[in-house]
Amino acid sequence: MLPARGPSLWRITAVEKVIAAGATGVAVTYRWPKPVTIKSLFIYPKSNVFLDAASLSFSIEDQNGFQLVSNGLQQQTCPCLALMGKGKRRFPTSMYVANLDSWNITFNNTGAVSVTPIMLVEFENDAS
Amino acid sequence: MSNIPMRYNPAQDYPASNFEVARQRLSESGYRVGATRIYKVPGLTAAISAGTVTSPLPVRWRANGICISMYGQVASAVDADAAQTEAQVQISGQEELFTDGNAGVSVPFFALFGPTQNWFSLNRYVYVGQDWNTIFKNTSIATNILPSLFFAVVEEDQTPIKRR
Repeated sequence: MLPARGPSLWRITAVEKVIAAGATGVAVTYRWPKPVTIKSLFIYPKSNVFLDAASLSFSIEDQNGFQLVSNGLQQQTCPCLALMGKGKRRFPTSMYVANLDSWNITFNNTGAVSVTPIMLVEFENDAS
Repeated sequence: MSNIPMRYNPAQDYPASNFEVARQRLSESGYRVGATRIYKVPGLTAAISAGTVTSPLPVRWRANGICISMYGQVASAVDADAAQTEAQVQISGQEELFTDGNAGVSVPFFALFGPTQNWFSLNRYVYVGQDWNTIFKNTSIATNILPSLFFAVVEEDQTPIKRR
Protein backbone atom coordinates (compact mmCIF):
# COMPACT_ATOMS: atom_id res chain seq x y z
CA MET A 1 0.00 0.00 0.00
CA LEU A 2 1.37 3.40 -0.90
CA PRO A 3 1.88 5.79 1.98
CA ALA A 4 -0.57 8.64 2.10
CA ARG A 5 2.24 11.13 1.95
CA GLY A 6 5.95 10.79 1.41
CA PRO A 7 8.72 12.74 3.04
CA SER A 8 9.18 16.45 2.40
CA LEU A 9 12.33 18.51 2.04
CA TRP A 10 13.43 21.11 4.55
CA ARG A 11 15.99 23.65 3.36
CA ILE A 12 18.05 24.97 6.24
CA THR A 13 18.95 28.34 4.85
CA ALA A 14 20.73 29.38 8.05
CA VAL A 15 23.84 27.50 6.90
CA GLU A 16 24.03 29.28 3.57
CA LYS A 17 26.84 31.62 4.43
CA VAL A 18 30.20 31.98 2.76
CA ILE A 19 32.86 29.75 4.35
CA ALA A 20 36.23 31.29 3.60
CA ALA A 21 39.13 29.24 2.27
CA GLY A 22 40.94 27.59 5.17
CA ALA A 23 38.25 28.48 7.70
CA THR A 24 37.59 25.98 10.48
CA GLY A 25 34.93 25.76 13.14
CA VAL A 26 32.39 27.98 11.40
CA ALA A 27 29.35 27.26 13.57
CA VAL A 28 25.66 27.72 12.87
CA THR A 29 23.02 27.05 15.50
CA TYR A 30 19.70 25.84 14.20
CA ARG A 31 16.63 25.40 16.39
CA TRP A 32 13.98 23.05 15.06
CA PRO A 33 10.59 24.76 15.20
CA LYS A 34 8.66 21.49 15.29
CA PRO A 35 9.30 17.80 15.87
CA VAL A 36 10.18 15.80 12.79
CA THR A 37 11.66 12.47 11.86
CA ILE A 38 14.65 12.98 9.61
CA LYS A 39 15.04 10.48 6.80
CA SER A 40 18.04 11.86 4.98
CA LEU A 41 20.61 14.64 4.92
CA PHE A 42 22.14 16.50 2.02
CA ILE A 43 24.94 19.01 2.47
CA TYR A 44 26.89 20.17 -0.56
CA PRO A 45 28.65 23.29 -1.81
CA LYS A 46 26.46 25.45 -4.00
CA SER A 47 29.25 25.54 -6.57
CA ASN A 48 28.70 21.82 -7.31
CA VAL A 49 32.47 21.50 -7.80
CA PHE A 50 33.73 18.11 -6.58
CA LEU A 51 36.95 19.53 -5.17
CA ASP A 52 34.90 22.03 -3.16
CA ALA A 53 32.76 19.15 -1.88
CA ALA A 54 35.88 17.25 -0.84
CA SER A 55 37.17 20.33 0.98
CA LEU A 56 33.95 21.29 2.74
CA SER A 57 33.34 19.15 5.80
CA PHE A 58 30.68 19.37 8.49
CA SER A 59 29.71 18.07 11.89
CA ILE A 60 26.43 18.17 13.76
CA GLU A 61 25.94 18.14 17.52
CA ASP A 62 22.62 18.49 19.29
CA GLN A 63 21.91 20.21 22.60
CA ASN A 64 22.22 16.90 24.43
CA GLY A 65 25.76 16.35 23.22
CA PHE A 66 24.84 13.79 20.58
CA GLN A 67 27.47 13.98 17.85
CA LEU A 68 26.54 12.72 14.41
CA VAL A 69 30.14 12.42 13.23
CA SER A 70 32.65 10.87 15.58
CA ASN A 71 35.75 8.71 15.66
CA GLY A 72 34.42 6.90 18.70
CA LEU A 73 36.05 9.31 21.12
CA GLN A 74 35.69 12.84 19.79
CA GLN A 75 33.59 14.79 17.37
CA GLN A 76 34.90 14.78 13.80
CA THR A 77 33.94 16.44 10.56
CA CYS A 78 32.89 14.61 7.43
CA PRO A 79 33.58 15.90 3.91
CA CYS A 80 30.48 16.41 1.80
CA LEU A 81 31.97 14.47 -1.10
CA ALA A 82 32.44 11.35 1.02
CA LEU A 83 28.81 11.21 2.10
CA MET A 84 26.97 12.69 -0.84
CA GLY A 85 29.36 11.47 -3.54
CA LYS A 86 29.77 12.80 -7.03
CA GLY A 87 26.20 11.69 -7.71
CA LYS A 88 24.98 14.11 -5.03
CA ARG A 89 22.82 11.54 -3.32
CA ARG A 90 21.08 12.09 -0.01
CA PHE A 91 22.61 10.40 3.02
CA PRO A 92 19.99 8.06 4.55
CA THR A 93 19.61 8.56 8.27
CA SER A 94 17.07 8.03 11.02
CA MET A 95 16.99 10.84 13.50
CA TYR A 96 14.22 12.31 15.51
CA VAL A 97 14.22 15.94 16.59
CA ALA A 98 11.85 17.29 19.19
CA ASN A 99 10.28 20.72 19.21
CA LEU A 100 12.96 23.38 19.81
CA ASP A 101 15.80 20.86 19.65
CA SER A 102 18.95 22.74 18.83
CA TRP A 103 21.62 21.64 16.37
CA ASN A 104 25.10 23.06 16.27
CA ILE A 105 26.29 22.64 12.68
CA THR A 106 29.99 23.27 12.17
CA PHE A 107 31.87 23.64 8.90
CA ASN A 108 35.51 23.42 7.90
CA ASN A 109 36.81 24.44 4.50
CA THR A 110 40.26 23.07 3.75
CA GLY A 111 40.15 24.23 0.15
CA ALA A 112 41.72 27.20 -1.57
CA VAL A 113 38.46 28.91 -2.50
CA SER A 114 35.50 30.00 -0.41
CA VAL A 115 32.35 27.88 -0.56
CA THR A 116 28.72 28.27 0.42
CA PRO A 117 26.96 25.16 1.69
CA ILE A 118 23.40 24.20 0.97
CA MET A 119 21.63 21.88 3.41
CA LEU A 120 18.50 19.89 2.70
CA VAL A 121 16.78 17.56 5.15
CA GLU A 122 14.24 14.99 4.02
CA PHE A 123 11.72 14.65 6.83
CA GLU A 124 8.34 13.42 7.89
CA ASN A 125 6.20 15.17 10.43
CA ASP A 126 6.11 13.53 13.80
CA ALA A 127 2.74 11.86 14.23
CA SER A 128 3.07 11.11 17.93
CA MET B 1 23.47 -40.28 12.83
CA SER B 2 20.57 -38.31 11.48
CA ASN B 3 20.27 -37.65 7.77
CA ILE B 4 18.78 -34.29 8.44
CA PRO B 5 21.35 -31.67 7.47
CA MET B 6 22.36 -29.25 10.15
CA ARG B 7 20.82 -25.90 9.42
CA TYR B 8 21.60 -22.46 10.57
CA ASN B 9 18.75 -21.23 12.70
CA PRO B 10 19.10 -17.50 13.33
CA ALA B 11 16.30 -17.39 15.88
CA GLN B 12 17.85 -20.18 17.89
CA ASP B 13 21.52 -19.45 17.43
CA TYR B 14 21.24 -15.71 17.73
CA PRO B 15 18.04 -14.74 19.58
CA ALA B 16 16.69 -11.43 18.39
CA SER B 17 17.56 -8.48 20.55
CA ASN B 18 15.09 -5.72 21.26
CA PHE B 19 17.00 -3.65 18.76
CA GLU B 20 16.64 -6.28 16.07
CA VAL B 21 12.91 -6.53 16.73
CA ALA B 22 12.63 -2.75 16.43
CA ARG B 23 14.60 -2.79 13.21
CA GLN B 24 12.40 -5.55 11.82
CA ARG B 25 9.23 -3.68 12.69
CA LEU B 26 10.53 -0.50 11.13
CA SER B 27 11.39 -2.43 8.02
CA GLU B 28 7.98 -4.13 7.84
CA SER B 29 6.16 -0.84 8.22
CA GLY B 30 8.02 0.56 5.25
CA TYR B 31 10.09 2.86 7.42
CA ARG B 32 13.54 3.20 5.97
CA VAL B 33 16.20 2.73 8.59
CA GLY B 34 19.18 4.97 7.99
CA ALA B 35 22.34 5.62 9.94
CA THR B 36 22.24 7.33 13.29
CA ARG B 37 25.94 7.99 13.53
CA ILE B 38 28.90 8.42 11.21
CA TYR B 39 32.26 7.14 12.40
CA LYS B 40 35.39 8.58 10.88
CA VAL B 41 38.60 6.58 10.73
CA PRO B 42 40.91 8.80 12.76
CA GLY B 43 44.59 9.45 12.64
CA LEU B 44 45.33 11.01 9.28
CA THR B 45 46.35 14.63 9.57
CA ALA B 46 48.36 14.82 6.36
CA ALA B 47 48.50 13.10 3.01
CA ILE B 48 49.99 9.62 2.76
CA SER B 49 53.25 9.70 0.86
CA ALA B 50 53.43 7.86 -2.44
CA GLY B 51 54.11 4.16 -2.05
CA THR B 52 53.56 4.01 1.70
CA VAL B 53 51.22 2.21 4.08
CA THR B 54 49.78 3.56 7.34
CA SER B 55 49.74 1.79 10.65
CA PRO B 56 46.33 0.40 11.71
CA LEU B 57 43.98 3.24 12.61
CA PRO B 58 41.26 2.18 15.06
CA VAL B 59 37.62 3.17 15.19
CA ARG B 60 36.14 2.26 18.58
CA TRP B 61 32.36 1.85 18.58
CA ARG B 62 30.55 3.89 21.20
CA ALA B 63 27.43 1.72 21.21
CA ASN B 64 26.09 -1.55 19.94
CA GLY B 65 24.56 -1.36 16.51
CA ILE B 66 24.76 -2.40 12.91
CA CYS B 67 27.25 -0.95 10.47
CA ILE B 68 25.24 -0.52 7.28
CA SER B 69 27.67 1.16 4.92
CA MET B 70 31.11 2.54 4.26
CA TYR B 71 31.91 5.86 2.61
CA GLY B 72 35.19 7.27 1.41
CA GLN B 73 36.87 9.99 -0.55
CA VAL B 74 40.26 11.37 -1.49
CA ALA B 75 40.86 15.05 -0.80
CA SER B 76 41.81 15.78 -4.40
CA ALA B 77 38.46 14.39 -5.65
CA VAL B 78 40.40 12.88 -8.56
CA ASP B 79 39.36 9.41 -9.74
CA ALA B 80 42.94 8.37 -10.49
CA ASP B 81 43.91 9.08 -6.87
CA ALA B 82 40.93 7.03 -5.65
CA ALA B 83 42.12 4.17 -7.84
CA GLN B 84 45.58 4.34 -6.23
CA THR B 85 44.28 4.52 -2.66
CA GLU B 86 43.49 1.25 -0.95
CA ALA B 87 42.00 0.32 2.42
CA GLN B 88 42.19 -2.83 4.50
CA VAL B 89 39.75 -3.23 7.41
CA GLN B 90 40.38 -5.57 10.32
CA ILE B 91 37.50 -6.39 12.64
CA SER B 92 38.49 -6.73 16.30
CA GLY B 93 41.81 -8.26 15.31
CA GLN B 94 39.94 -11.47 14.50
CA GLU B 95 38.51 -11.04 11.05
CA GLU B 96 39.30 -9.25 7.83
CA LEU B 97 36.53 -7.40 6.01
CA PHE B 98 38.30 -7.91 2.68
CA THR B 99 40.08 -11.17 2.04
CA ASP B 100 41.57 -13.27 -0.74
CA GLY B 101 40.37 -16.37 1.07
CA ASN B 102 43.51 -16.76 3.12
CA ALA B 103 44.51 -13.38 4.40
CA GLY B 104 43.33 -9.82 4.60
CA VAL B 105 43.76 -7.69 1.53
CA SER B 106 43.35 -4.04 0.70
CA VAL B 107 40.84 -2.83 -1.89
CA PRO B 108 41.07 0.36 -3.98
CA PHE B 109 38.65 3.16 -3.14
CA PHE B 110 37.67 3.32 -6.79
CA ALA B 111 36.64 -0.35 -6.71
CA LEU B 112 34.66 0.14 -3.50
CA PHE B 113 32.95 3.40 -4.30
CA GLY B 114 33.12 3.74 -8.08
CA PRO B 115 33.27 6.87 -10.19
CA THR B 116 30.27 8.46 -8.49
CA GLN B 117 31.64 7.68 -5.02
CA ASN B 118 28.71 5.55 -4.10
CA TRP B 119 28.69 3.89 -0.70
CA PHE B 120 29.73 0.31 -0.06
CA SER B 121 26.93 -1.56 1.71
CA LEU B 122 27.62 -3.54 4.86
CA ASN B 123 25.51 -5.44 7.35
CA ARG B 124 27.73 -6.07 10.33
CA TYR B 125 27.00 -6.00 14.02
CA VAL B 126 29.29 -3.71 15.97
CA TYR B 127 29.73 -3.80 19.71
CA VAL B 128 30.59 -1.09 22.17
CA GLY B 129 34.32 -0.95 22.85
CA GLN B 130 35.15 -3.08 19.81
CA ASP B 131 37.81 -1.74 17.42
CA TRP B 132 37.79 -1.84 13.64
CA ASN B 133 41.26 -1.08 12.34
CA THR B 134 41.84 0.48 8.95
CA ILE B 135 45.14 0.42 7.09
CA PHE B 136 45.48 2.83 4.18
CA LYS B 137 47.83 2.12 1.32
CA ASN B 138 48.92 4.68 -1.27
CA THR B 139 50.01 2.66 -4.30
CA SER B 140 50.87 5.70 -6.39
CA ILE B 141 54.54 6.08 -7.24
CA ALA B 142 54.40 9.86 -7.40
CA THR B 143 51.32 11.37 -5.78
CA ASN B 144 50.71 11.98 -2.10
CA ILE B 145 47.07 11.28 -1.30
CA LEU B 146 44.83 12.18 1.66
CA PRO B 147 41.99 9.67 1.95
CA SER B 148 39.19 9.60 4.48
CA LEU B 149 36.91 6.73 5.33
CA PHE B 150 33.63 6.61 7.22
CA PHE B 151 31.31 3.96 8.58
CA ALA B 152 27.56 4.59 8.85
CA VAL B 153 26.01 2.85 11.84
CA VAL B 154 22.50 2.35 13.17
CA GLU B 155 23.09 2.46 16.90
CA GLU B 156 20.63 0.77 19.18
CA ASP B 157 20.23 3.71 21.55
CA GLN B 158 19.57 6.22 18.77
CA THR B 159 16.72 4.73 16.78
CA PRO B 160 13.69 7.00 16.49
CA ILE B 161 11.67 4.47 18.50
CA LYS B 162 14.12 4.66 21.38
CA ARG B 163 14.33 8.43 21.41
CA ARG B 164 10.58 8.82 21.60
